[in-house]
Amino acid sequence: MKRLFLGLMVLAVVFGNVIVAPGAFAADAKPLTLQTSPLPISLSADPGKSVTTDLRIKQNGGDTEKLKVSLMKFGAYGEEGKPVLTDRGPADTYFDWVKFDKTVFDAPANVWQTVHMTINLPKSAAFGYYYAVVFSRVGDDVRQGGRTNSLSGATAVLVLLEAHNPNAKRSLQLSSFATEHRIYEFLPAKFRVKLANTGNVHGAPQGDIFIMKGKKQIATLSLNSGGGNILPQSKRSFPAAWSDGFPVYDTVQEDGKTKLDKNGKPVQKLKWDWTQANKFRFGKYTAQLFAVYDDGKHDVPIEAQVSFWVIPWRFLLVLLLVLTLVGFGVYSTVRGTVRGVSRGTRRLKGRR
Amino acid sequence: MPFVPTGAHAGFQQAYVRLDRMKANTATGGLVCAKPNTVGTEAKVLVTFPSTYTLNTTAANWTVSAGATEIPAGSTAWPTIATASSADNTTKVVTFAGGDLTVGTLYCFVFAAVNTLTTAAAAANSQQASVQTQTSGSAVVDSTQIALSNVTDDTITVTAVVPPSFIFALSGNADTFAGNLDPLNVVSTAGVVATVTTNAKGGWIAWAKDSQQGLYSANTGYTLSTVGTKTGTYANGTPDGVTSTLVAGTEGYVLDVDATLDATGGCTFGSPYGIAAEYDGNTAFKGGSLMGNYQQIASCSGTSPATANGDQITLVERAAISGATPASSDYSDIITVVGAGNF
Repeated sequence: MKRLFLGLMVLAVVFGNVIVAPGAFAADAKPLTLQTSPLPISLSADPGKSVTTDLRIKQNGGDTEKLKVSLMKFGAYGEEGKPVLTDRGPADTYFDWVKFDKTVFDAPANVWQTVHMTINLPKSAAFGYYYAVVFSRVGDDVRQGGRTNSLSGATAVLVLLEAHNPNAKRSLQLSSFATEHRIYEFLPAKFRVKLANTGNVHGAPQGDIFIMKGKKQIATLSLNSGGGNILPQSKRSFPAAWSDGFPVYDTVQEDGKTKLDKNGKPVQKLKWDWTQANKFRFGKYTAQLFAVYDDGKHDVPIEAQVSFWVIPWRFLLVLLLVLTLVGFGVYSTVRGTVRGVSRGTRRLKGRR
Repeated sequence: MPFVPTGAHAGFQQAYVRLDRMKANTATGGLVCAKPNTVGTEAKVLVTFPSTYTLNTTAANWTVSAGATEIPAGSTAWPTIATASSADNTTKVVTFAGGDLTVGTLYCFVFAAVNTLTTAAAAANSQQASVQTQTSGSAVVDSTQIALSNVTDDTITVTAVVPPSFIFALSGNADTFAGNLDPLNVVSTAGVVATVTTNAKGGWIAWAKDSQQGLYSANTGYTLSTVGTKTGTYANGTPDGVTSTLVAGTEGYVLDVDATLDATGGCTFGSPYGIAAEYDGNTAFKGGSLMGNYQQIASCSGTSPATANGDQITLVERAAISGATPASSDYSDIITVVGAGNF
């Protein structure tokens, strides 16, 4: 009897690891919605002083959740200045300057929680430090087991800190100012302003792109009206688009969402708004960039220009075809009339 | 039997004057409405304003209209109502020519606000006014006394703050493979949807990192490693920005990120933003390397304000095994996904 029992136990263990009923490991997928405010926070302080800020977090689930706060850093890399999130490195002692009044707390649904962040700058602090304060749910980053992956969701509030220093260098340089194409059939004409921060603290350029036809200003496009920053020793691209034309390519919207193609890119469609017919664009245009940044003493201008063409060639071809057909029709009509008159004249002469 | 004097007139069934502004000492236009009670051949309407009001005596300024959008629903445009023929600041009477009215019908018209009427200099209640219709011979048809009031301020200033906010939602914290991993097929998880709503003017970014750069089985101590070309190691290197294609029978594990919904307005998924090229798999076999450090998986940007009103991306893990992959029922992984408004 004892042998039979042991045998059954062994079989149960062996088959338990091999035979997996479909769905046996389907985990309870618990949703998570986190809301944070404010958005990127800019702080500045003198070395040896403290600076504080309040971070607000709310979870919008049905139950009370236990949330945790962790600290990371962010930067920018590559030609486009893509934001990158990084864990603390061995040399990142500035993480030790940061204190939170709570790091794990209960968050009832739909109730704002405030986390007080204090940064105690040592006297050696200088220039820029870039923190990411990350909020996540306790327990999401643990292994679920069989056939199921764990996804731990989190939101990060980016904090830009400048430690005042007389050697702070604020310097932005234009890397490029270009149009997406040199020739457009129809608007929008898209521009990309790439700036490099060659200083040691972050900076935010602002300005305009003036669209000129000859000496006449046609349109003004705002550059970086959102006040986006460029981190030290990195680049960042700022897009701008001139779409005030007729006809104009517009993103297709369906059921309140942007229609995407099979590659996940927005589908564009030519929009013919005849009330805007006076904005038919044709010819050579010049985009003049005029931006400024604050170097700590005064505004430093950044200027550049680029030319592009708008040639609605298909529209012109159709117009040419229509004109040709009309011309041919007129020619045929006139020719027929002239021939008819000539024949009539000959008949009259013949009768005489 | 009550004594009724000769020429006595009745009041309207209903009559009122609604000024556009109740604030004292303020230029205003207004709405005049009346429902006749007496049969007669009306030819004009006289509006008498309170003695505290100031009337512009240029009759031509007192233009009128009775369009459907200007008079109350259910009322009828005052027939042939015309610009005032007189405006007397002494008697406070403005006379408008108008057509014959039908008893029991509510007629309305509006008079202009520019250079016509100015309310009392100070706030006051129950200031006497009247509306009166007359025949062409100036015989009164209907007349009703009304009261007008003025207040110190007739506007309420509403202020509100829309704080900068970032909302990041994951549809679940668990993502299960559709079936057991199989050397004959590439198997994928059901997928988890991440939704971003933010009024950040610079758009948003999402990153992901993986706990052990593969599917790990504690029972066997084996890791079904992620694949893809990279610089450095999967633990802390940089992927090459090109999707990898899994082949059934050859071990591999990748993360595919799909643009599920680019909500209207604000930022767009258009190039060079959107799904990071490394993770932009367009078949059920493609995806990017699951790195041990945070990699940008998606972003949304555009001309400021590049906000997002419910953009969605779907994260799907795909795995392929070989015939020699150790059997176990506990292969799993931990992926951390972080979203943020751009700086």
